[in-house]
Amino acid sequence: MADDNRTLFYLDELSDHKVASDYPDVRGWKLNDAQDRTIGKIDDLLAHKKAQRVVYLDVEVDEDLIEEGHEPLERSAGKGVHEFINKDGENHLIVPIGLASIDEENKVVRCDSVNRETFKKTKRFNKSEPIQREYEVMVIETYVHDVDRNANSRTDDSFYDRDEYRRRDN
Amino acid sequence: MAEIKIEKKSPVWPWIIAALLIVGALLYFFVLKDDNNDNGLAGAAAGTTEETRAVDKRAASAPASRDSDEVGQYVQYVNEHGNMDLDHEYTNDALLQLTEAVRAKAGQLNHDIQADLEQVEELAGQIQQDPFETTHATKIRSAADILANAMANMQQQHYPDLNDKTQEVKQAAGQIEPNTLTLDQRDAVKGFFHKSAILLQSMQ
Repeated sequence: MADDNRTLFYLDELSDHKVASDYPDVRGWKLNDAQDRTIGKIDDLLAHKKAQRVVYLDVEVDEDLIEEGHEPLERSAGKGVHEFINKDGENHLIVPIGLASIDEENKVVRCDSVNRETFKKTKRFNKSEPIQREYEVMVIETYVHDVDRNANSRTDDSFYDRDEYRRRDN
Repeated sequence: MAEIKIEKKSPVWPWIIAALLIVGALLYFFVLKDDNNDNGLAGAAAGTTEETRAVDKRAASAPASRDSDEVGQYVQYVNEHGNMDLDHEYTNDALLQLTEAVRAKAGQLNHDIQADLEQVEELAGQIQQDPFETTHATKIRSAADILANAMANMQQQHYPDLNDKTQEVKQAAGQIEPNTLTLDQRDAVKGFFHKSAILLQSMQ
Protein backbone atom coordinates (compact mmCIF):
# COMPACT_ATOMS: atom_id res chain seq x y z
CA MET A 1 0.00 0.00 0.00
CA ALA A 2 3.02 2.32 0.30
CA ASP A 3 2.97 3.28 -3.34
CA ASP A 4 4.13 6.78 -4.21
CA ASN A 5 2.04 6.78 -7.35
CA ARG A 6 -1.07 5.67 -5.55
CA THR A 7 -4.14 7.64 -6.55
CA LEU A 8 -6.96 5.65 -4.97
CA PHE A 9 -7.54 5.67 -1.23
CA TYR A 10 -10.19 4.11 0.93
CA LEU A 11 -12.09 6.89 2.67
CA ASP A 12 -11.79 4.95 5.93
CA GLU A 13 -8.02 5.36 5.75
CA LEU A 14 -8.17 9.10 4.98
CA SER A 15 -8.65 10.28 8.54
CA ASP A 16 -8.60 13.93 7.50
CA HIS A 17 -11.26 13.54 4.81
CA LYS A 18 -15.00 12.93 4.79
CA VAL A 19 -17.88 12.77 2.34
CA ALA A 20 -18.59 16.36 1.27
CA SER A 21 -21.46 17.98 3.08
CA ASP A 22 -24.01 17.98 0.24
CA TYR A 23 -23.46 14.33 -0.65
CA PRO A 24 -24.74 11.16 1.03
CA ASP A 25 -22.34 8.87 2.85
CA VAL A 26 -23.51 5.54 1.48
CA ARG A 27 -21.21 3.34 3.56
CA GLY A 28 -23.33 0.65 5.15
CA TRP A 29 -26.06 0.89 2.51
CA LYS A 30 -27.17 -2.03 0.35
CA LEU A 31 -26.12 -2.34 -3.27
CA ASN A 32 -28.84 -3.72 -5.56
CA ASP A 33 -28.58 -5.00 -9.10
CA ALA A 34 -30.68 -4.11 -12.14
CA GLN A 35 -33.52 -6.25 -10.83
CA ASP A 36 -33.30 -4.51 -7.46
CA ARG A 37 -31.96 -7.60 -5.72
CA THR A 38 -29.31 -7.01 -3.09
CA ILE A 39 -25.89 -8.23 -4.01
CA GLY A 40 -24.00 -6.89 -1.01
CA LYS A 41 -23.28 -4.02 1.34
CA ILE A 42 -21.17 -0.96 0.60
CA ASP A 43 -18.25 -1.38 2.94
CA ASP A 44 -16.12 1.59 1.95
CA LEU A 45 -15.60 4.23 -0.69
CA LEU A 46 -12.57 4.36 -2.96
CA ALA A 47 -11.70 7.96 -3.69
CA HIS A 48 -9.40 9.70 -6.10
CA LYS A 49 -7.68 11.93 -3.56
CA LYS A 50 -6.41 14.48 -6.06
CA ALA A 51 -9.79 14.85 -7.75
CA GLN A 52 -11.54 14.82 -4.36
CA ARG A 53 -14.26 12.44 -5.49
CA VAL A 54 -15.31 8.85 -5.10
CA VAL A 55 -14.65 6.60 -8.11
CA TYR A 56 -15.60 3.18 -6.75
CA LEU A 57 -17.95 1.70 -4.25
CA ASP A 58 -16.19 -1.05 -2.32
CA VAL A 59 -18.84 -3.72 -1.88
CA GLU A 60 -18.72 -6.66 0.50
CA VAL A 61 -20.59 -9.29 -1.44
CA ASP A 62 -23.32 -11.36 0.18
CA GLU A 63 -22.52 -14.98 0.92
CA ASP A 64 -25.37 -16.30 -1.19
CA LEU A 65 -24.04 -14.52 -4.27
CA ILE A 66 -20.64 -16.08 -3.65
CA GLU A 67 -22.28 -19.49 -3.33
CA GLU A 68 -24.24 -18.96 -6.53
CA GLY A 69 -21.02 -18.07 -8.29
CA HIS A 70 -19.49 -21.48 -7.67
CA GLU A 71 -20.67 -22.74 -11.06
CA PRO A 72 -18.88 -24.09 -14.14
CA LEU A 73 -17.08 -21.43 -16.18
CA GLU A 74 -19.18 -19.95 -18.92
CA ARG A 75 -18.00 -19.49 -22.43
CA SER A 76 -19.77 -17.02 -24.63
CA ALA A 77 -18.66 -16.87 -28.23
CA GLY A 78 -17.75 -13.42 -29.41
CA LYS A 79 -17.66 -11.97 -25.95
CA GLY A 80 -14.40 -13.37 -24.78
CA VAL A 81 -13.74 -15.85 -22.09
CA HIS A 82 -14.21 -14.97 -18.48
CA GLU A 83 -12.08 -17.30 -16.50
CA PHE A 84 -12.09 -15.63 -13.15
CA ILE A 85 -11.76 -17.87 -10.20
CA ASN A 86 -12.47 -16.20 -6.90
CA LYS A 87 -10.47 -17.61 -4.03
CA ASP A 88 -11.68 -17.98 -0.49
CA GLY A 89 -11.50 -14.71 1.35
CA GLU A 90 -12.06 -12.71 -1.81
CA ASN A 91 -15.44 -11.28 -0.96
CA HIS A 92 -15.12 -7.69 -2.13
CA LEU A 93 -15.70 -6.12 -5.48
CA ILE A 94 -15.60 -2.59 -6.76
CA VAL A 95 -18.41 -0.82 -8.61
CA PRO A 96 -17.71 2.35 -10.59
CA ILE A 97 -19.64 5.26 -9.15
CA GLY A 98 -20.96 6.24 -12.57
CA LEU A 99 -22.84 2.94 -12.84
CA ALA A 100 -24.67 3.56 -9.59
CA SER A 101 -27.71 5.59 -8.69
CA ILE A 102 -28.38 6.63 -5.12
CA ASP A 103 -31.81 6.28 -3.50
CA GLU A 104 -31.42 8.46 -0.41
CA GLU A 105 -34.96 7.91 0.78
CA ASN A 106 -34.53 4.13 1.04
CA LYS A 107 -30.79 4.24 1.69
CA VAL A 108 -30.09 1.95 -1.24
CA VAL A 109 -27.66 2.21 -4.14
CA ARG A 110 -28.67 0.61 -7.43
CA CYS A 111 -26.74 -0.54 -10.47
CA ASP A 112 -29.42 -0.27 -13.10
CA SER A 113 -27.21 -1.52 -15.91
CA VAL A 114 -25.64 -4.55 -14.24
CA ASN A 115 -27.55 -7.71 -13.48
CA ARG A 116 -26.93 -10.38 -10.90
CA GLU A 117 -25.31 -12.75 -13.35
CA THR A 118 -22.69 -10.18 -14.19
CA PHE A 119 -21.97 -9.51 -10.53
CA LYS A 120 -21.59 -13.25 -9.98
CA LYS A 121 -18.97 -13.45 -12.69
CA THR A 122 -17.06 -10.33 -11.61
CA LYS A 123 -13.59 -10.92 -10.27
CA ARG A 124 -13.53 -10.20 -6.58
CA PHE A 125 -10.60 -9.23 -4.37
CA ASN A 126 -9.44 -9.50 -0.80
CA LYS A 127 -9.73 -6.18 0.96
CA SER A 128 -6.27 -6.51 2.45
CA GLU A 129 -4.75 -6.33 -1.03
CA PRO A 130 -4.20 -3.07 -2.85
CA ILE A 131 -6.26 -2.26 -5.94
CA GLN A 132 -4.22 -2.61 -9.10
CA ARG A 133 -5.04 -0.87 -12.33
CA GLU A 134 -5.12 -4.23 -14.06
CA TYR A 135 -7.89 -5.28 -11.72
CA GLU A 136 -9.80 -2.09 -12.39
CA VAL A 137 -9.64 -2.70 -16.13
CA MET A 138 -10.71 -6.29 -15.63
CA VAL A 139 -13.71 -5.29 -13.56
CA ILE A 140 -14.80 -2.57 -15.93
CA GLU A 141 -14.57 -5.04 -18.77
CA THR A 142 -16.97 -7.26 -16.92
CA TYR A 143 -19.51 -4.47 -16.49
CA VAL A 144 -19.09 -2.93 -19.92
CA HIS A 145 -17.43 -4.39 -22.94
CA ASP A 146 -15.44 -1.66 -24.66
CA VAL A 147 -12.65 -0.88 -22.25
CA ASP A 148 -9.32 0.04 -23.76
CA ARG A 149 -7.02 -2.71 -22.52
CA ASN A 150 -4.04 -0.40 -22.95
CA ALA A 151 -5.24 1.81 -20.15
CA ASN A 152 -3.03 -0.03 -17.68
CA SER A 153 -0.74 2.76 -16.60
CA ARG A 154 -1.12 3.29 -12.90
CA THR A 155 -0.41 6.99 -13.26
CA ASP A 156 -2.97 7.60 -15.99
CA ASP A 157 -5.62 9.66 -14.19
CA SER A 158 -7.53 10.18 -17.41
CA PHE A 159 -8.77 6.60 -16.91
CA TYR A 160 -11.33 8.08 -14.48
CA ASP A 161 -12.70 10.45 -17.09
CA ARG A 162 -14.72 7.59 -18.49
CA ASP A 163 -18.48 7.67 -18.20
CA GLU A 164 -18.37 4.81 -15.72
CA TYR A 165 -16.89 7.20 -13.17
CA ARG A 166 -18.94 10.27 -13.91
CA ARG A 167 -22.42 11.48 -13.15
CA ARG A 168 -24.50 11.87 -16.26
CA ASP A 169 -27.18 14.53 -15.95
CA ASN A 170 -30.49 13.45 -17.46
CA MET B 1 -25.87 8.26 -12.13
CA ALA B 2 -24.23 9.04 -8.86
CA GLU B 3 -21.51 11.37 -7.80
CA ILE B 4 -19.97 11.57 -4.36
CA LYS B 5 -17.37 14.18 -3.58
CA ILE B 6 -15.03 14.16 -0.63
CA GLU B 7 -13.56 17.06 1.29
CA LYS B 8 -11.07 17.70 4.02
CA LYS B 9 -12.43 17.74 7.52
CA SER B 10 -12.38 21.10 9.27
CA PRO B 11 -9.70 21.27 11.92
CA VAL B 12 -11.01 21.45 15.46
CA TRP B 13 -8.57 23.95 16.87
CA PRO B 14 -10.14 27.09 15.31
CA TRP B 15 -13.41 26.20 17.07
CA ILE B 16 -11.55 25.74 20.35
CA ILE B 17 -9.93 29.14 19.95
CA ALA B 18 -13.29 30.71 19.08
CA ALA B 19 -14.86 29.14 22.17
CA LEU B 20 -12.02 30.44 24.35
CA LEU B 21 -12.41 33.93 22.88
CA ILE B 22 -16.15 33.90 23.60
CA VAL B 23 -15.55 32.76 27.18
CA GLY B 24 -12.87 35.42 27.54
CA ALA B 25 -15.20 38.10 26.19
CA LEU B 26 -17.97 37.07 28.59
CA LEU B 27 -15.56 37.11 31.53
CA TYR B 28 -14.26 40.50 30.42
CA PHE B 29 -17.73 42.02 30.28
CA PHE B 30 -18.79 40.53 33.58
CA VAL B 31 -15.59 41.55 35.32
CA LEU B 32 -15.67 45.01 33.76
CA LYS B 33 -19.28 45.39 34.82
CA ASP B 34 -18.37 44.31 38.36
CA ASP B 35 -15.44 46.71 38.37
CA ASN B 36 -17.72 49.57 37.34
CA ASN B 37 -20.11 48.70 40.14
CA ASP B 38 -17.21 48.50 42.59
CA ASN B 39 -15.93 51.89 41.42
CA GLY B 40 -19.39 53.31 42.04
CA LEU B 41 -19.37 52.02 45.59
CA ALA B 42 -15.80 53.22 46.10
CA GLY B 43 -16.94 56.63 45.07
CA ALA B 44 -19.53 56.55 47.79
CA ALA B 45 -17.03 55.08 50.25
CA ALA B 46 -14.44 57.05 52.26
CA GLY B 47 -12.59 59.17 49.75
CA THR B 48 -9.05 60.48 49.77
CA THR B 49 -8.06 63.75 51.39
CA GLU B 50 -7.83 65.38 47.97
CA GLU B 51 -11.28 64.19 47.12
CA THR B 52 -12.56 65.59 50.43
CA ARG B 53 -11.01 69.00 49.71
CA ALA B 54 -12.51 68.97 46.26
CA VAL B 55 -15.94 68.28 47.68
CA ASP B 56 -15.44 71.08 50.22
CA LYS B 57 -14.42 73.54 47.51
CA ARG B 58 -17.35 72.59 45.40
CA ALA B 59 -19.67 72.91 48.35
CA ALA B 60 -18.27 76.34 49.25
CA SER B 61 -18.41 77.89 45.81
CA ALA B 62 -21.33 76.16 44.17
CA PRO B 63 -24.82 77.53 44.10
CA ALA B 64 -27.42 76.22 46.49
CA SER B 65 -28.93 73.88 43.94
CA ARG B 66 -25.66 71.89 43.74
CA ASP B 67 -25.29 71.68 47.52
CA SER B 68 -28.71 70.16 47.78
CA ASP B 69 -27.63 67.40 45.40
CA GLU B 70 -25.70 65.59 48.11
CA VAL B 71 -28.54 66.06 50.55
CA GLY B 72 -31.03 64.99 47.91
CA GLN B 73 -28.98 61.91 47.09
CA TYR B 74 -28.71 60.96 50.72
CA VAL B 75 -32.43 61.43 51.36
CA GLN B 76 -33.28 59.40 48.28
CA TYR B 77 -30.89 56.63 49.29
CA VAL B 78 -32.39 56.36 52.77
CA ASN B 79 -35.93 56.37 51.38
CA GLU B 80 -35.15 53.69 48.83
CA HIS B 81 -33.45 51.39 51.32
CA GLY B 82 -35.51 52.29 54.33
CA ASN B 83 -37.76 49.29 54.01
CA MET B 84 -34.99 46.87 53.19
CA ASP B 85 -33.29 44.65 55.67
CA LEU B 86 -30.21 46.24 57.22
CA ASP B 87 -26.81 45.04 56.10
CA HIS B 88 -23.29 46.34 56.50
CA GLU B 89 -23.15 47.57 52.95
CA TYR B 90 -26.17 49.78 53.51
CA THR B 91 -24.83 51.02 56.84
CA ASN B 92 -21.50 51.92 55.31
CA ASP B 93 -23.01 53.60 52.25
CA ALA B 94 -25.57 55.52 54.28
CA LEU B 95 -22.90 56.76 56.68
CA LEU B 96 -20.72 58.03 53.89
CA GLN B 97 -23.56 59.61 51.96
CA LEU B 98 -24.73 61.31 55.16
CA THR B 99 -21.20 62.58 55.63
CA GLU B 100 -21.20 64.03 52.12
CA ALA B 101 -24.59 65.60 52.66
CA VAL B 102 -23.51 67.20 55.93
CA ARG B 103 -20.28 68.40 54.30
CA ALA B 104 -22.26 69.93 51.45
CA LYS B 105 -24.60 71.65 53.88
CA ALA B 106 -21.65 72.94 55.93
CA GLY B 107 -20.04 74.29 52.80
CA GLN B 108 -23.22 76.06 51.87
CA LEU B 109 -23.40 77.65 55.30
CA ASN B 110 -19.65 78.29 55.48
CA HIS B 111 -19.57 76.19 58.55
CA ASP B 112 -16.25 74.58 59.40
CA ILE B 113 -16.74 71.01 60.49
CA GLN B 114 -13.87 69.53 58.54
CA ALA B 115 -12.23 67.93 61.55
CA ASP B 116 -15.47 66.28 62.62
CA LEU B 117 -16.12 64.86 59.19
CA GLU B 118 -12.61 63.52 58.92
CA GLN B 119 -13.22 61.65 62.14
CA VAL B 120 -16.40 60.15 60.68
CA GLU B 121 -14.61 59.11 57.50
CA GLU B 122 -11.90 57.52 59.57
CA LEU B 123 -14.51 55.56 61.49
CA ALA B 124 -16.26 54.53 58.27
CA GLY B 125 -12.96 53.28 56.87
CA GLN B 126 -12.36 51.28 60.02
CA ILE B 127 -15.79 49.71 59.80
CA GLN B 128 -15.09 48.69 56.23
CA GLN B 129 -11.79 47.09 57.07
CA ASP B 130 -12.75 45.66 60.44
CA PRO B 131 -13.61 42.01 60.17
CA PHE B 132 -15.08 41.88 63.66
CA GLU B 133 -18.74 42.73 63.57
CA THR B 134 -18.85 43.26 67.34
CA THR B 135 -16.99 46.57 67.04
CA HIS B 136 -19.08 47.97 64.22
CA ALA B 137 -21.83 49.27 66.47
CA THR B 138 -19.31 51.18 68.60
CA LYS B 139 -17.92 52.94 65.60
CA ILE B 140 -21.34 53.60 64.10
CA ARG B 141 -22.45 55.11 67.39
CA SER B 142 -19.38 57.34 67.52
CA ALA B 143 -19.91 58.46 63.94
CA ALA B 144 -23.59 59.09 64.58
CA ASP B 145 -22.81 61.23 67.61
CA ILE B 146 -20.30 63.30 65.68
CA LEU B 147 -22.69 63.81 62.77
CA ALA B 148 -25.60 64.61 65.06
CA ASN B 149 -23.53 67.28 66.84
CA ALA B 150 -22.34 68.74 63.57
CA MET B 151 -25.87 69.00 62.26
CA ALA B 152 -27.03 70.41 65.58
CA ASN B 153 -24.42 73.17 65.47
CA MET B 154 -25.45 74.18 61.97
CA GLN B 155 -29.12 74.02 62.84
CA GLN B 156 -28.82 76.13 65.95
CA GLN B 157 -26.94 78.85 64.13
CA HIS B 158 -28.93 78.93 60.93
CA TYR B 159 -32.24 77.16 61.44
CA PRO B 160 -33.41 77.86 65.04
CA ASP B 161 -36.90 76.60 64.28
CA LEU B 162 -35.67 73.06 63.76
CA ASN B 163 -34.67 72.32 67.36
CA ASP B 164 -37.17 69.48 67.62
CA LYS B 165 -35.81 67.68 64.63
CA THR B 166 -32.28 68.06 65.93
CA GLN B 167 -33.32 66.51 69.22
CA GLU B 168 -34.83 63.59 67.39
CA VAL B 169 -31.56 63.02 65.54
CA LYS B 170 -29.58 63.12 68.78
CA GLN B 171 -31.99 60.75 70.48
CA ALA B 172 -31.84 58.39 67.55
CA ALA B 173 -28.05 58.40 67.72
CA GLY B 174 -28.25 57.72 71.44
CA GLN B 175 -30.34 54.63 70.84
CA ILE B 176 -27.52 52.92 68.96
CA GLU B 177 -26.00 50.65 71.58
CA PRO B 178 -22.21 50.34 71.24
CA ASN B 179 -22.10 46.86 72.71
CA THR B 180 -24.89 45.35 70.67
CA LEU B 181 -24.40 43.89 67.20
CA THR B 182 -25.47 46.30 64.51
CA LEU B 183 -27.69 43.71 62.90
CA ASP B 184 -29.47 43.22 66.21
CA GLN B 185 -30.45 46.89 66.38
CA ARG B 186 -31.59 47.49 62.85
CA ASP B 187 -34.37 49.84 63.81
CA ALA B 188 -32.08 52.08 65.85
CA VAL B 189 -29.51 52.43 63.08
CA LYS B 190 -32.12 52.95 60.39
CA GLY B 191 -33.92 55.34 62.65
CA PHE B 192 -30.84 57.55 62.99
CA PHE B 193 -30.36 57.71 59.23
CA HIS B 194 -34.02 58.45 58.73
CA LYS B 195 -34.12 61.29 61.27
CA SER B 196 -30.95 62.75 59.82
CA ALA B 197 -32.55 62.77 56.39
CA ILE B 198 -35.56 64.63 57.73
CA LEU B 199 -33.37 67.23 59.48
CA LEU B 200 -31.17 67.83 56.46
CA GLN B 201 -34.12 68.08 54.15
CA SER B 202 -35.65 70.64 56.50
CA MET B 203 -32.48 72.71 56.48
CA GLN B 204 -32.94 73.79 52.88
